[in-house]
Amino acid sequence: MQKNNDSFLNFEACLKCSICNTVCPMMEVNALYPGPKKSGPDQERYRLKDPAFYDYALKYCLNCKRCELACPSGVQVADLIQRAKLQYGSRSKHPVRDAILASTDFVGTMASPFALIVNSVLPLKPVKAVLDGAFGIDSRRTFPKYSSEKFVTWFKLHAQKEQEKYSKFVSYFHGCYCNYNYPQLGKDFVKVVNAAGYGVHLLEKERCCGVALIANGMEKQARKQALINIESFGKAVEKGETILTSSSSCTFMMRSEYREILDLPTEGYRDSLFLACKWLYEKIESGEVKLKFKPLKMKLAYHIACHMQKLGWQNHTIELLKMIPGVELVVLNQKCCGIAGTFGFKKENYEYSQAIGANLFADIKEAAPDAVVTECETCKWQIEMGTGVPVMNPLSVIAAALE
Amino acid sequence: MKYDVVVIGGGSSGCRAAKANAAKGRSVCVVSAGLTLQATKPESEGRVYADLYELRKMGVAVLRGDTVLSGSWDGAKLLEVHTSNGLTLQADEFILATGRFFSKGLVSTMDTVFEPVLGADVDFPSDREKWFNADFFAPQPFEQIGVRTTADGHIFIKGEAAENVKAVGKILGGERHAKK
Repeated sequence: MQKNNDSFLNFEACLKCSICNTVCPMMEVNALYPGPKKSGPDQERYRLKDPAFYDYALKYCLNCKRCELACPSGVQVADLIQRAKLQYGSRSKHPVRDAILASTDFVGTMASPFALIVNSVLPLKPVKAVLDGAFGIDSRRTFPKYSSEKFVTWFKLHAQKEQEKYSKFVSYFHGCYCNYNYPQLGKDFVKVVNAAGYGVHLLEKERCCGVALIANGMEKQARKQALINIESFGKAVEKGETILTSSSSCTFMMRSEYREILDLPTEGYRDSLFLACKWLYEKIESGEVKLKFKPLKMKLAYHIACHMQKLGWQNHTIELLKMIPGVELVVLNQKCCGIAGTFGFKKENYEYSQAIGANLFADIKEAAPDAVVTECETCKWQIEMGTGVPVMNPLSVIAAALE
Repeated sequence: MKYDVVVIGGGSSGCRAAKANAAKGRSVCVVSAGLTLQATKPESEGRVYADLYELRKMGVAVLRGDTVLSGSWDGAKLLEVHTSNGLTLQADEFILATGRFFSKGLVSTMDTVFEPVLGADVDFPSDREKWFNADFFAPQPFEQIGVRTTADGHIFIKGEAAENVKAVGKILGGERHAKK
């Protein structure tokens, strides 16, 4: 959007039209949340005067970015709220819980070697009761499973050598979910990119993008990890490699939030970092890549994750899925699933999270698909828990349809 | 990405145009920078012509929160438009439905009024004093400001009629905004 003046995140451009309030999913279910207009541009004036005006109800913001999409004046409403939370927010009542939820790299590294034990112990009722009582992680929540072999370990053992037979390469930012929880996603990524005639390189160093750290107020750690990633991106760009990802929220974090919330430089790599589906569609469109698909008899419902809509690349995925013969595709109305990363895992937020998700669950049940397709892994957990319908990343669908 | 019709602007006019074209079986993409029909606007007088969900169900590609920044021309024919999310949208026909001053379909400065997306020609009195009437509820001359079009709605670029770009809705001018 066009900038209208030089105020911090354009907050003075707010006309108080309240369109952002009409699209906020949290406002619909939670009377304690003052809404994006008040939390963002309105209260920013007060906060600048005196930090004591900071409203603790800002913790309810999901950072879904709908307010920014709806704003006719280009106010970065959600960014204003995120920055206020980092700058003025007080310490959490559950610092240990928040650190566990946000430190995906640390927890993943610890859990992977004991995946069998962790996976069988976590769903047990007494364990859940302890997590609920002592840490405030809601016992009604289904936890994601850990994988005993990390994606990176698999890649180095079974795939890295083969990659060298290609002459063109992309770099892959796999993300924590792929690495610790679901390496099959990374395997599917490698299969699809190889089929397109490109080899896969890992980044020199990769850390969690930090989206969960920001959401939990751990700015310092997020900055540290972001700087490591940015350095690796720079090296990949120097080699002339495009950096591809499979998760929408990581991508959005690294392309936009590093700059808007952490004030870090993104110019060096921003135009070389894409979701794999966007990259693949453009390669097919330009005629450089030709993929052969076998028929896949499936009814798929595509859920546009909030950050995916903010990225604006959903049409690439939709067009790719349409290329697969036999696929019946329904595009769901863009509604928030309510989990918002770590938000829905917290005991105090569980009810809100499920109330927001209910709208989407109803739509999915009505569409009755064989699988829901989405780029976001936390949406996946929420939708699978809420509807029982399996959720796939589009890359996994494409990999399954490759001849 | 290629469509039969690309609609620039997802307000009431843009959504209506998209719906009409989709009903004829054309592939349609709507780029909606912000305002949508899901929010009730006083200007639409409570009428809801088509909301974005209805359009999605009809198979229309809806890009919310994206903005068309510029277009590429071949003479008087618009080939493609480029958006702020880095998309290039090609189409046989384009529909300009970006509205007027509030939605920045038209932008006014001290001495001129211009259309910022494609640079369409805009008709306005050259004397700024004649843009407004001191009587607030009287017909306001600035309400008549809009893009110049041919009889069937094609816009002009630097005096030449564009082959495949039509304008619809408030960007045409003529609505009695202040009186409403």
